[in-house]
Amino acid sequence: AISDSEERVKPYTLEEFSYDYFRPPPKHTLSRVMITKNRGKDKLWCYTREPIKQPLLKKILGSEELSQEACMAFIAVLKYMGDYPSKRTRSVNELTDQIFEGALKAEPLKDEICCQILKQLTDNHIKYSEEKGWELLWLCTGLFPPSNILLPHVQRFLQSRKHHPLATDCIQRLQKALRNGSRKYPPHLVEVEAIQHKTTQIFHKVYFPDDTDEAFEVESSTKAKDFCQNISSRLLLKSSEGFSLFVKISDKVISVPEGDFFFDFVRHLTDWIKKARPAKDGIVPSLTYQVFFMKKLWTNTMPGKDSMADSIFHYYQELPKYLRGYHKCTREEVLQLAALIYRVKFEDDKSYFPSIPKLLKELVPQDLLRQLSPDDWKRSIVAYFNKHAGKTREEAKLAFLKIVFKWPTFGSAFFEVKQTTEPNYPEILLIAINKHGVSLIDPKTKDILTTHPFTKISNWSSGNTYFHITIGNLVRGSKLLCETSLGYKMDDLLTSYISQMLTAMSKQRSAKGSSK
Amino acid sequence: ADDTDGVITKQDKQGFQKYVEDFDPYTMFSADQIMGKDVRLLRIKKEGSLDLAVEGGIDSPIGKIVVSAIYEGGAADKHGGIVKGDEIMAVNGKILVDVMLTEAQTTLAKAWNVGGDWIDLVIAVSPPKEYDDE
Repeated sequence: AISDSEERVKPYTLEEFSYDYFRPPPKHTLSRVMITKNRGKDKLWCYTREPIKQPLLKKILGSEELSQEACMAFIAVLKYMGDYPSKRTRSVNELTDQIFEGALKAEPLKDEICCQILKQLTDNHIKYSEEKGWELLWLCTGLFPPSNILLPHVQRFLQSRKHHPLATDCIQRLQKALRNGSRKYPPHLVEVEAIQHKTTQIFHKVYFPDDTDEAFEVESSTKAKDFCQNISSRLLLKSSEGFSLFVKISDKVISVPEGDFFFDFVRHLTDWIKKARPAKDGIVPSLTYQVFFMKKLWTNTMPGKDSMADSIFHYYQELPKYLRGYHKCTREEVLQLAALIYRVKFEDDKSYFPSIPKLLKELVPQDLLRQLSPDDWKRSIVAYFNKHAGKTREEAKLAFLKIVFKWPTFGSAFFEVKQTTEPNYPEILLIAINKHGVSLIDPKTKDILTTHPFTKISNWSSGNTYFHITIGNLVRGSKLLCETSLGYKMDDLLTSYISQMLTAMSKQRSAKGSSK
Repeated sequence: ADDTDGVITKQDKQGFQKYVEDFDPYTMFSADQIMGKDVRLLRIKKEGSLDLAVEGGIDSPIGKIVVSAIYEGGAADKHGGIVKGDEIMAVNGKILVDVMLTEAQTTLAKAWNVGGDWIDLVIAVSPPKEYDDE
């Protein structure tokens, strides 16, 4: 049984805080000594079912716009908690958007929203409403920390309510919010759904290039960089350098910037897709997305250095580029590689030899398929296969990587574009972006026509239909204009490679400086 | 084959022409402005919003006004004769081949919001892609 003293600990309220920071009570309050049954309503720091007509915080009163927004947000709080009539909402996060959107845009509203939620959790005797209020507080503590002035009050509020299952989690989320900073977008659907189902742990599926997937825990405060590190250590990678999260949504695959909050990025992306594809006849477009983890920048990738990275990522990411025929390679190499690919698929099992002619598309670059008859391919591939007797699947992957690693096009992202600026080059070009810079490749001969190192690229831009770079300075430079709908990807890669290079350079410089 | 010829005089249910057959681009543009281009006049019925986005402009790398997106369900999408990558050369008779992006956007918005039941767009059709763009 609960002892008397414990039972009597009064839950902390915002009463004291309100004397200094809430707006003053309306003038007539003092004269209304008569009304005793309405007393509760006059306590600005306590639960109410009445919409507020002014913000709680004194500091907001001065701004008409923020005041209005505060009052609107409060109505949304009332609606969410079931204290105000509301239509059935269209989406799970419709009301939470209305509650938090303003605060995420205007700093002063952050404390206001926090106070509104605490108010509605004070002396609230309606069980349903109170539970919904806790959901809001949980969401709120995952979005932003309160100001230094309000923070101790929020902490005491939570400390004195530790009997509630969410209180401890809210205290922890507060700590993380203080450490990681404020989010930019309101809670993602997944966050709202989680807490409505009484789960504070969110697991997110992540897909890998070797066709496997795993679930990882994500928190409201998780940044892409932490997420990457978490995945890297689970997969026993030696380093997460060069790896990135990618979100695949509709027809786009977009890399998540390291410093972004994971949920902010996904939220921003789905909002943007929604805008591009508005609901048609009330049917909301599918906003399902997949999260991938892949190698993005191949600057320091050396086959053999990190066996898990080779096995899960490097092999499976390089293979399809090779099969699309993006590299220049000799017949000898093609046969070697085909035999190795076979070995990765079937190891020592020779019973698939008769299927080789049918499997050729998975063994030989597409543009070379017609150079030999299917049976000639088979004969030659089998001959090479027998030379690697006893090699395991993993050894075959590494052997494959060690061959393609020799090519200047290893670890590239390739883009087929139409260029309109360089009359001496073919109109249709293959562009490879890798650690050497931006290379223009003749798509027929696979010859590298030129490579522009990152240090020579002075400017770049992209649109939905084009990608453009300036090489050298404006006076003596040249321009390359490409027609492509993948400009956003080329732009991102160029930006990432160049910023990686600049960071490495400044590290080097500071290392040199300190050694002197 | 009809689509690529661009000379359909089919009338839709509302009685609006999809492509204007007897449009002669030489009455609007100089020969070098339309050299090598497949120029068409489209007549789009004003219903709901146009939902067409443009990019580029005379000061941009591409030096012309190009359709950057056609949003699903909008009037441009329903019309069907215009796709991402097409150049917009004129709107309701106003030539846009040497304007900046903002001017093109204003012209489009005005043409859509002010007067008339349809909007006339002169476009240069972007050729089919001979390369893999995915």
